[in-house]
Amino acid sequence: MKITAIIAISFVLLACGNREDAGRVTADEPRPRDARVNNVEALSGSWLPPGAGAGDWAMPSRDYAGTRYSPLTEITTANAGQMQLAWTFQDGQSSYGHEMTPLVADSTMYIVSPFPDRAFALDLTKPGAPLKWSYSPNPSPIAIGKACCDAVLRGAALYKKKLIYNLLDDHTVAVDAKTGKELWRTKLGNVEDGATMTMAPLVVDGRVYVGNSGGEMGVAGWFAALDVNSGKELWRAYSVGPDSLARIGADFHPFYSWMRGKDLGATTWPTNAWKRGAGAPWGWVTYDPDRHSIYYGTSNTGPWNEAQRPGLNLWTSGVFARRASDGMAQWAFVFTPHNEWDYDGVNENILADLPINGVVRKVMVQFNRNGFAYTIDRATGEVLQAKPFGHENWASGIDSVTGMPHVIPAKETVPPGRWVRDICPADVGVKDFEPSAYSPRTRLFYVTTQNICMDYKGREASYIAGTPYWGAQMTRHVGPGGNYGEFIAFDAATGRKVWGIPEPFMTYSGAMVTAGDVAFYGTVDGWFRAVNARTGEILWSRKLGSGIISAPMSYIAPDGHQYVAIATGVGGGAMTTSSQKGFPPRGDTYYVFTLGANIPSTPARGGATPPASSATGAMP
Amino acid sequence: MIDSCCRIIMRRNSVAFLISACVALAATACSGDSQLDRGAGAGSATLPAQDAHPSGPDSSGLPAEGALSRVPIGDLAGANDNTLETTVKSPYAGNAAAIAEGHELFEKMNCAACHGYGMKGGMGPDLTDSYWRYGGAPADIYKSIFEGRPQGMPSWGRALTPTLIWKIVAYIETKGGAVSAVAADRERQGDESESDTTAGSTMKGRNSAP
Amino acid sequence: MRPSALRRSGAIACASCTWLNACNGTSSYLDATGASGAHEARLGIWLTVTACIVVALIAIALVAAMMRHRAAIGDRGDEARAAGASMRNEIRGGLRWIYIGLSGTLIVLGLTFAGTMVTFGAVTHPPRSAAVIMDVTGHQWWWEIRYTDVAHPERSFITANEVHLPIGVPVRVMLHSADVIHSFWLPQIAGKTDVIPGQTNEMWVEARVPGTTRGMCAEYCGLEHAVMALVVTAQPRADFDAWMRDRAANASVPVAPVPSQGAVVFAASCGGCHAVEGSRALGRAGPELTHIASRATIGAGALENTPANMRRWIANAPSEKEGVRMPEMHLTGGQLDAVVAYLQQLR
Repeated sequence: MKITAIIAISFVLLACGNREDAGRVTADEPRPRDARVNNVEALSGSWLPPGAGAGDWAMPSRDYAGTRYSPLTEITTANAGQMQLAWTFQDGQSSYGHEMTPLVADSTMYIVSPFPDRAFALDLTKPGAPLKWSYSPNPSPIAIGKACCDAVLRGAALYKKKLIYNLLDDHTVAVDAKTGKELWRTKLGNVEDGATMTMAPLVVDGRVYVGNSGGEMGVAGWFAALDVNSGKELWRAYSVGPDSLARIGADFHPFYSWMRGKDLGATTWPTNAWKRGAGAPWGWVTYDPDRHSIYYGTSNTGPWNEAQRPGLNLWTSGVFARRASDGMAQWAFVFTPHNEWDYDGVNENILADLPINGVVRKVMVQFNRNGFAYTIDRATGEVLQAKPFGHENWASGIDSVTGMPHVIPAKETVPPGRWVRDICPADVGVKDFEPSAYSPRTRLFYVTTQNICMDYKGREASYIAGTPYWGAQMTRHVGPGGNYGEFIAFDAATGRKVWGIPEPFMTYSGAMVTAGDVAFYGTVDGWFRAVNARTGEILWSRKLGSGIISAPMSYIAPDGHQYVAIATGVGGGAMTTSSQKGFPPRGDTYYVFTLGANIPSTPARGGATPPASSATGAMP
Repeated sequence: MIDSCCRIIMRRNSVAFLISACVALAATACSGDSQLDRGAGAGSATLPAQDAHPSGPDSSGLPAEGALSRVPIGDLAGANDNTLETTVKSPYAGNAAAIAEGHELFEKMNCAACHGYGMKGGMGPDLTDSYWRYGGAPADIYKSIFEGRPQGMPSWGRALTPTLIWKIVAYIETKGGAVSAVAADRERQGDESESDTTAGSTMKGRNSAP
Repeated sequence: MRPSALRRSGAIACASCTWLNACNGTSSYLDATGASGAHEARLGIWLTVTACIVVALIAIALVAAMMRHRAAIGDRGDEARAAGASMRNEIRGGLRWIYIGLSGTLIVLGLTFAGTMVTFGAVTHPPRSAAVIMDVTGHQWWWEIRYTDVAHPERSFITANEVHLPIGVPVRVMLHSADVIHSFWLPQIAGKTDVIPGQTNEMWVEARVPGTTRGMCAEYCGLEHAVMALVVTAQPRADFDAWMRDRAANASVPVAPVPSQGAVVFAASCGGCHAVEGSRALGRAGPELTHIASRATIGAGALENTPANMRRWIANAPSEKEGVRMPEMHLTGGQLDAVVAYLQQLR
């Protein structure tokens, strides 16, 4: 309703005057919104955080379905080539990788940095988006050495004027989005024992959903709900252990029989091994407001050395569907039972309605680390489609009856202590955590993929609290074709790749797609590209300061125009290829682009120079 | 088939059967009865007394307890008297047996999981380069292991004995990153780190100036 | 052949060689109590008896030939004629003896070869699929053993320096080495198999008679090669299953103050190397100690497992087993007492 009203107001405003007029409105009046919004296909209402407008981006994936689809249409396949840099921002934390997505709401951009996990609010109503406030939570530096893959942070959530995010040292904080004052801080784990937190929380109906990291540190993975007002923990569901810890009860109905039974999270392990069996939900959470269900994946099994944990090792390397209110499990599916290759199951589960064999089904799609794209009925957990979306050679396919992979014996890592050559994909997967995008217009998924294989040797791992419980030695090499990355468009209904753009470096950024049929992604060597979402034609490219491992987003600024923002700062899992010739140094810069015509030719008011009257309107 | 043949060949007992006759039978059938009953010290008397670490010092040769706490981590402002302490020598440097044991400990204590099997870094810093956050002299490395460091390096002072920590230090030194005690001392003075004490006379002169 | 008959034959074979009169200790492979060991003992006895018969026959033939030739030289009748006839006769008769001797030898060798091949076949593959897998890892100088129930692979656990075998059930043994070449030998149950770094050798064992015997490393592997022993317990299936369940369970958690304090000291000072399941001490560098109190020995056969020996061992293991990797622990007397009290209640 609200969105429609805003659009209507925008129409009126646009009809009344030119851009300068629209920009000159004062803060008390309703902010103008560009009419160039296509809300026909975009999710709205209960699929968006409360109060988020069409031009906002109030959570990392923009909507609860995780689509990263922007309904904005000002930038199109026709004019994307005219995009120019509008402004930049540096967070000063160039030591660690930048994996987050900036958020925009209430004419403010919110940015959270990697360790020390600082938060910044930038005022979009002023030229150059000056800093409104910053917040320094000062987490414990011990956490730096406990994070397996760089001291990263994957983003924050905005919910009713609160900015909520996780600190690397196992705390969740809520900050007043207006003032930057800390509202609450909740301790959720002991960083000394190796658990960290890097994921972006999801907030629905007053509950903050968070999970831990530490799949390489012998932790037990957990997923918790906190009260958004007090930070109090409401419930916690473990990914391993008996049903009481895993919040599995009478309502639990997994589709496949091998996942049915009592306490499978404990009995599919050697005694106690589940206690350090990982399954950390460090990836993305999605939410279906119609079914009131949340979906999230669980990490690799710990330790990587499979000989130390015979059994199916449930519920690691899988996905849970849980009731959003009390966290009781509805169904689960394990992608890689008895995972021998670090194929985590934490990648985003994008919710979509797809025609499968002529019938539109409500599905979730996960592009799994193991190289298969799973299209799963999100009501039952039945695998409808599971096809490779990149180069893999560890499994010949997914069994249509059991959902289990047909593992190729030569790629099994048994027994430990011997090198197993050329396993594809490597531990970083055909796709890692970097989130994909889905366009309801093209019905295609836009996925950044890796083409990396590994030689692997299992090693006996000692569990020593606070040190890695890892058990593997590896070397990685590029897969067939010699391109480390490829940006692809994938039809998850049929399991078919539609087009792909090979890249010499890893493509480890998230993806975004807009209603203008433009898809965005970045590369590890720092190229940020806009491509035609239907054909894969590259429309525009800019070389940025460092490699890109964050996800792009798009918003409407107070001037009424569409902007695209991206963070640079290579790190995280991309460092697995840091010996590649030409690999860029780290960075910490956020770049914001818009169409060249939207950028005033003379600088807007800057420093002590009095504002030129002609420029005031362009960038109020 | 070939596989099972190989396995047969590997079974030394079977090969032994083929080549042995009555006399060999007598020798093998009755060996090694009494080891289970071996008590304290009994039995080992038949072995030549041998030091497991022949060329290394015994535990009494280790630096005195508490001496290392005086090794400065940071600059030397007002602490000139302590600079001598950084020249604590690595007691097992170059000792092959100790280095092998240090190597084993480096992997078994999960050091390799953070710093890499080749010490090229990962979760933890590279130990083969010349950049040391907390100093690269043997005494500094010992302290880093013993006490832990603020960015996630655990303290091993209780889990490992000083002997074992020094063996790990000796192994780390073999990877070329560690600096000699003298060079480390110079680095603290703000001079370039040259490993040879005779190189750069001006530097030497500066160092020895009162 | 039944084991008792086998032992009898073994005893006869031993008795036939007077210097073998002491062959009935816990390490004699002729005193076989395992399935493949029985095959090997049978072959060994066959070879021994055959070799003894062959030696006896050759001795008899040699003596007979010497006597006969001496008699022929003494008879000097018609010398020239007789010499030619005797030469022809001797050649003819000698050839006959060569045929007899050669065929006799070939038959014995053929039987030996066949017997050896049959034994190879019998010991290479178990008679039926194994129900239990033992992953044995040789370390300098102790044994790590992971038990896996084939029907329930997740019911696996690790123990050290002790092997339990269910009677009448084949157990598959996978042999790994953590450092140098060792050889795994349960003398009365099965033959030796080398344990080689970088590869997995396989063998199988099946115990037939209950009892406790001794296993050992049979390839020189360094200073303490001689003190790398295993206590082998063969027991009925039901007892074995109970043992498996017991070993797979957590260690008992101490309640009394002294063992509780010992648990804290143990986790901090010993947990980097040793594991006690259910506690925070979960190191893998040294032997698993979850149920140490119910094991017979300390230090892979170095000491009998008594509280006094354990205290000595922890205080200064190298003084008890010179090359042992466990260092002298710098614990106070009180800490030592507490750790011993803690370990002694880990049943």
